Amino acid sequence: MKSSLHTHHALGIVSLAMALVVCYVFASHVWHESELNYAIAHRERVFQVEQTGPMMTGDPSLLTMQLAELFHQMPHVEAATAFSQAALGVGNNGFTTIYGDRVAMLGTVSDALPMGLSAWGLDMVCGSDSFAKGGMSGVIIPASVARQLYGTEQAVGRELRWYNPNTDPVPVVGVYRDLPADCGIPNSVYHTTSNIRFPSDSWWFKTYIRLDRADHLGSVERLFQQRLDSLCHENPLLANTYDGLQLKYTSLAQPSAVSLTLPFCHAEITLPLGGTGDLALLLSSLFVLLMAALNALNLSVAAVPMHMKSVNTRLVLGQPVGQVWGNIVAGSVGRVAVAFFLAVLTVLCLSRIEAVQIVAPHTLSMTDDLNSRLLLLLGGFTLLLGLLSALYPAYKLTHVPLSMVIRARYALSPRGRWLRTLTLCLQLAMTSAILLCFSVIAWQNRHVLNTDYGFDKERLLYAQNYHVEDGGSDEDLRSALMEVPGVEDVSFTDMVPFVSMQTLTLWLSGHTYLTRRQNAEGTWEEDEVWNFGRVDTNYFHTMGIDVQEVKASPVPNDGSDPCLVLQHRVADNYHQRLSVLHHGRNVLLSVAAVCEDLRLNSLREADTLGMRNAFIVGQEVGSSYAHVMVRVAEGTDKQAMADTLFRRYEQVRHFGRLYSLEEAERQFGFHDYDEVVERIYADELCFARQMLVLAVSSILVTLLGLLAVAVVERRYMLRSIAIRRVLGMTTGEILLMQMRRYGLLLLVGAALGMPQAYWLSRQWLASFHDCAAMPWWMPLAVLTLQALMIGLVIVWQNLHSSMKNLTLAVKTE
Amino acid sequence: MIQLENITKRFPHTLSLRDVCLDIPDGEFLCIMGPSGSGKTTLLNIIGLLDAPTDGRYLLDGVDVYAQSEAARATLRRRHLGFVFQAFNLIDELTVWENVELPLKLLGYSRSERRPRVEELLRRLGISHRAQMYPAELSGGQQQRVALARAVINHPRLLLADEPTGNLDSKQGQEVMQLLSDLHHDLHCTIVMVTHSHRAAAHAERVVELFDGRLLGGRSCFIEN
Repeated sequence: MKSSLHTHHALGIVSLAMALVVCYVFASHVWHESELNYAIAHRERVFQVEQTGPMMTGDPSLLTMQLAELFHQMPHVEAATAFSQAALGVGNNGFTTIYGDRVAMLGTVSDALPMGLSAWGLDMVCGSDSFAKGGMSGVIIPASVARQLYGTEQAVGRELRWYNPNTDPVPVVGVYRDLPADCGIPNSVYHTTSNIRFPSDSWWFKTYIRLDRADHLGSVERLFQQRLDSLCHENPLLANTYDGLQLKYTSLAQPSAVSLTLPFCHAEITLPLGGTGDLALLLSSLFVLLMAALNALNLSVAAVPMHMKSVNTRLVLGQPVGQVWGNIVAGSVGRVAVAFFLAVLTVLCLSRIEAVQIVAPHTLSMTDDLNSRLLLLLGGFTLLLGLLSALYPAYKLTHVPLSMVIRARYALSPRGRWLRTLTLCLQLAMTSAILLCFSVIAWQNRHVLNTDYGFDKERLLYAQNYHVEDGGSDEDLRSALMEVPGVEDVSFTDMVPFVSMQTLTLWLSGHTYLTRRQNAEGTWEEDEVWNFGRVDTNYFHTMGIDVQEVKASPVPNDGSDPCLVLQHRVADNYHQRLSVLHHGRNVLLSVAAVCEDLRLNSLREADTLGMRNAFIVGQEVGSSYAHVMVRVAEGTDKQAMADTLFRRYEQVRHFGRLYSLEEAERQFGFHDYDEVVERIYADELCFARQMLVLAVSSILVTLLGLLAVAVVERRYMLRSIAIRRVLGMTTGEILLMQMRRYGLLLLVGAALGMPQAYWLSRQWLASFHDCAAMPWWMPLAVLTLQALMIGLVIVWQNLHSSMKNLTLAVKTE
Repeated sequence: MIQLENITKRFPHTLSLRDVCLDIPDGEFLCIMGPSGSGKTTLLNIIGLLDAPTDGRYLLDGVDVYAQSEAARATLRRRHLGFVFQAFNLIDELTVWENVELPLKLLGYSRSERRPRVEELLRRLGISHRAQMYPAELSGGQQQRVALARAVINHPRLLLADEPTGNLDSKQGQEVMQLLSDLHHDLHCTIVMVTHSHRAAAHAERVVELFDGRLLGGRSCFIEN
């Protein structure tokens, strides 16, 4: 009996320690993530108006500024400002290098309007958060950049210059405190003139407004719409600045077409999982802890009959009740304390293992401010658990008539048994929920990683941000790379077909054009904003994309005559020609071919800019290409090939000064295309790993709990099973009986847990454009796994009892 | 009904039964007496198919039961045997009602078939008002009545009672023995009872005595090779 006591205590301690570690790791992760959300001041009442548009002849900043001014003058609006796209960390406006006392690559530059950056919560160290109006340029820089450039944060009045010999120095007008890394908002240099120009083919502005109270949003929206209508009506300049196309745009920019949303939710910006993922992680880790807590309570309840006689014999012999209570509480608290310190030791070890970062990217160090608070919380919870799990046994053991206990054997009361059944049922519910969540996530990840993308990614290498300086050409590099054995084709493009605003893949380099399309009858249809990917003529062969030529004029192979290749999804309504508005003039492009669809599985439901409908083939439209794609022969060692290609590239490249600088920050090199997918899905894969750890932990904690209770009940169950055998039941029948009992519990647990898990999973899946349907057998597989787990314990229990001599088992009291 | 031929039972350090030969006719109420350690319970366990003899043969209705499989012996126990133990051996997590109806459930009786039989038996044994209680909530005498009810609910042909009054006071013991006698008369089952008590033994039709694993005054049944 003593050994079984030790065994069940050990099992309980191990399961609690494991749950504490799991909870610490994931709660710390979620807490760090949510802290990033709150790193932005006033985030709960800052809203954004997103405006996007095609390249146009006029200056869209006029409209942008007017919109921001509109907000500025409205009641309940404390501040309003606007930034170019770099404010959200996606690309920049072309400036990448800051030139101060020395040359350095220090981050991105965003164009901003002179409205006051504090609208979205920049905390100023010195200077002003707004720019002077009237044409003078100025910059507001992060404190880290100020320290790096000038050795001090007090940099107001200093000057810096872009890396471009022709630009004038720009004065620093303010320095703001750096935002936490990974909070979704980069520490950009905000630069303004009142006359912003857009060098790229499309533009993207965000207007931010800060309200006095979040619930005033509705009234502000309504008022904004009224004033915008009135502005467009009263101000012919606004309407007439642009031709018909821009008028179209103006109407698109009405509030009915723009969304006001909370922008600064880290989970929504950098984590594709969104808040649902964090919620699932937090809930699952709390479930695991709760399961261990239930184990502890369950064990303390189950052990009551074992202690009944010994404790009450002591009471009969005169031991004070208080002393009995003290012993029980001390024992219980001591055990949870051992579990807690075991968990602390484990966390200490884990925090020194780098590989743990694949499931816990944030620090696990216990000296971290957040983590130390979390540790205190968990310590408090553990102590409370120790006290709680002592209460019932102490009360029960000291409140039974001594005569009854001494005379008879004591069994668990019906209420105690009901309590244990309930806790077991809850454990099974939580395990089934976590297992189902994990299964759905793993299934979706498998789906997005293994489905046909529409091109042959298995044989691709790529290099991003390729540049050729004066004196070199794409063709030089192509010829050089083609000489490498194993290279089948080389092409150039300015897009990578995986772009998602939510995943913040920084390779957004497609182009948004306003187009008119001409149908087969030669009629021009209404205008549309289309996204294009610019590629060279080898692109389709290199990528392994099937192309069907649909016109007499084939895809040009000399790059001299740009044409269009449509994807199937937009070719249903066949277009012969598209008129593309480019740099203020209409360029008429013919549709030369239709290619298979590229399935952009990385896209989330909220992404709108990422879809590419067509390719522009040829050099005429736009600037030079950014990326090199290399198709290698089947069976090629891609890592070795990447090294070879890089060496070859170094022999032929013509570095300019700018890109020498850039290389120090962003290493140029050839990469396996699988890395693209893995990088885009890094968060999902990390999430899947986290859920796997949680699922395994929940199984282990439940299993340990079941085993511990089985150990406690072994003597009791031995006798109970033996009596049934005396009455004529066979071991098989007893096994069946137990299976039926636990099977029922399993079904009830699944009925409780699975709908919640299904709902959470659907929420998560809803963020994907292309989500895998949950197969019908998945809940069954989860149930089967749990049934196996329970079956293991039951079989162990029954084998143990069936190996005992029947007469001895019956005799055992 | 029962023929024991040269039953011997050895434990690692003791010889519990030595060449015990015993015939028990159908419907007899037999009492086995003897001092502690004489092998009474061991013999009862062998008769009850709970423990196999080291040597010898046990014929039940002419069939060597220990030559059969464990499953077949379990079926025999289920259909034809009833047990009453000194320590009652009720199942603690089942109510009185559930304990009593358990043998019928094992025999596949439906709920509607079980209900009147259990009701009748509990009423007859005077414990119907305790039907929904758990064993731990009952006195020793009441627990033994429940055990008795569970033993006879399936109308066994052979009822085995191991010190049925051992844990009871004299009044409760007398009541239980009276119940046992009544059931014997009513059900015409064979009863084999082990006891120390001469008062309990007085209810039996025949008393045999064991001493150091040998049956005193029993018939010789050596089988020649």
